[in-house]
Amino acid sequence: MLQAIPLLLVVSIVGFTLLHLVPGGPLDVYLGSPNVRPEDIARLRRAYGLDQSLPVQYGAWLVGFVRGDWGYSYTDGRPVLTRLLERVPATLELMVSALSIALVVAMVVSLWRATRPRGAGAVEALSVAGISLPVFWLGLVAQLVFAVALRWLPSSGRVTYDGAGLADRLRHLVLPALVLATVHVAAWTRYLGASLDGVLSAPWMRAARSRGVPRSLLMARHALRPALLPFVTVVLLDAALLVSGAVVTESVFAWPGLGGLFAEALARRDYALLMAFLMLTSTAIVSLNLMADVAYRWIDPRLRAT
Amino acid sequence: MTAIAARPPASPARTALLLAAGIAAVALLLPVLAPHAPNAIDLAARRVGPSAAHWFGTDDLGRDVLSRVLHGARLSLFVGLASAVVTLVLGVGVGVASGWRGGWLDTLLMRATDALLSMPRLPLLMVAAAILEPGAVALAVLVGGTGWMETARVVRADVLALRERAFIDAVRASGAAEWRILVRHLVPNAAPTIAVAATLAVGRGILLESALSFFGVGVRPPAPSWGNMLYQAQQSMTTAPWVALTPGACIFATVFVINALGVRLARSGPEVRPA
Repeated sequence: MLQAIPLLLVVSIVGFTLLHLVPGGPLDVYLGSPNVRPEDIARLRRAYGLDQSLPVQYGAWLVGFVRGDWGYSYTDGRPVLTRLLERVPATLELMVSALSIALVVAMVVSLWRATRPRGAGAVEALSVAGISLPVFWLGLVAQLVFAVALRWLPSSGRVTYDGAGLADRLRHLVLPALVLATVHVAAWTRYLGASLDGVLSAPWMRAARSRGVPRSLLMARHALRPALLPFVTVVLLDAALLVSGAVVTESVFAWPGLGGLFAEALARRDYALLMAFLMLTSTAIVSLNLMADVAYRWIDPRLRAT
Repeated sequence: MTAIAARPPASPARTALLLAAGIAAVALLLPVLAPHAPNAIDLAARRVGPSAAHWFGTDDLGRDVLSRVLHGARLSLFVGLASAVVTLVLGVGVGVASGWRGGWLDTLLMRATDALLSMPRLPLLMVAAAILEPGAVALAVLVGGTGWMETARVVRADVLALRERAFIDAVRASGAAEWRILVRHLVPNAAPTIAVAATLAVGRGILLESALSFFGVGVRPPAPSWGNMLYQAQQSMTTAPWVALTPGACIFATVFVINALGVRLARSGPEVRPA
């Protein structure tokens, strides 16, 4: 908890300095435009407080940020916080689906592998392939195959038209969620596999086996539960990565979430929005890290005692 | 003195060096094989599918995709390799300083490492690259400079174990200077760990370069890199899919080989640490 605040301060200072390094400052985009007169720029500069020194501007930004006043988007003038918040549901929907898919697949695959040593080589190769995939390319290929060639699923967006039914929304969700899940399935299968291997050779497993515990129960209760212990932390830490990893998937699939908004803001150099996004993602990462700490203590009784 | 010191297993370090040399050689040699100039525009042959003249077809401007992929290898591999060098220098430096010295320096460096690990790396890199408009070298420094933390952690763990070993005491008792202990005896014995970290860093560097270029903020056109070819291919995905498929397949194949090697190295090493 105590580390969280300095970290957020550092991110904000790095981000703020970067965004104000541009020669023209955040108003750089307007400088070349024939429709914007020099006096307009001067007025905007005063309105956004850009005529003040960098530390003063940062101070003003920080005070506003803490109060929930995150500034106004440079592209459409609406409050940044509003623009971000309206994108949160779509991103959460995508993240939660991707996480659930990745979790289930990783658990099933590593349990299957643990009981059949001959499948280990194939699982290993597939998981190395999974972590080597460029996510955006995987997205493009998935679009080409399932949307363009086979026409099974829509290629992009979240709904076909406003108010479309649940089936339509699910069909839109399939490709981006699977693509976002792939990398994590690969990484988690490796991790959980290693963790399971450690548990399977434990003495209590041999004891349970010799008592005649059926194999399904043996795997589900005796092996999976202790193996999941270290895994929970990994999942929570990776969920934090998912927040920023969604940027790629969302822009490939034109998913109307935070990541897509970030890519748009980057293309248009909407600095207020970029800054807010950086703060939002680092806050999310920091809170998930804290949750990982707490969860670890909560799950492992040995740690709770201390 | 070398007789006392435990000789490090040479194979991982040598394999990693061989890999680096191999990548560099491929990157330098590939452009020679290119049948066309990478930036030769032929408006009469725009978006032509794979054929005898253009094995992997042509792009929006009629440029030969195969030639661009072969030339693009140089930039993509350079950024991957150079960023890994930056990662290793910083990661090994911080890891050794932290583990060897211990005390307040260790606390400080590890706190900083933890903090940097929880920064949103990709968005920060995208913003930095969009604003600083880096060339290939600066891009490698940015990518490598934000990715050294895992390396620092595993190297520190190795150093903590190694510094208690008898051979280090023996070297010290024989009067070796501190830097000599570090350079000749400590770091070489951490070579297996460093080699694994190196392969992971190369793969990740290539992937990050391609992701940044894919968003149009990495390697700037017209110079081809595998990532920025994909950026340009997005518009013609349905009419000319080969333009996007080829560079992506190159990225995937390259990173796969490098990661597979890393997994091999990790398994052959004394201690296995999965990524």
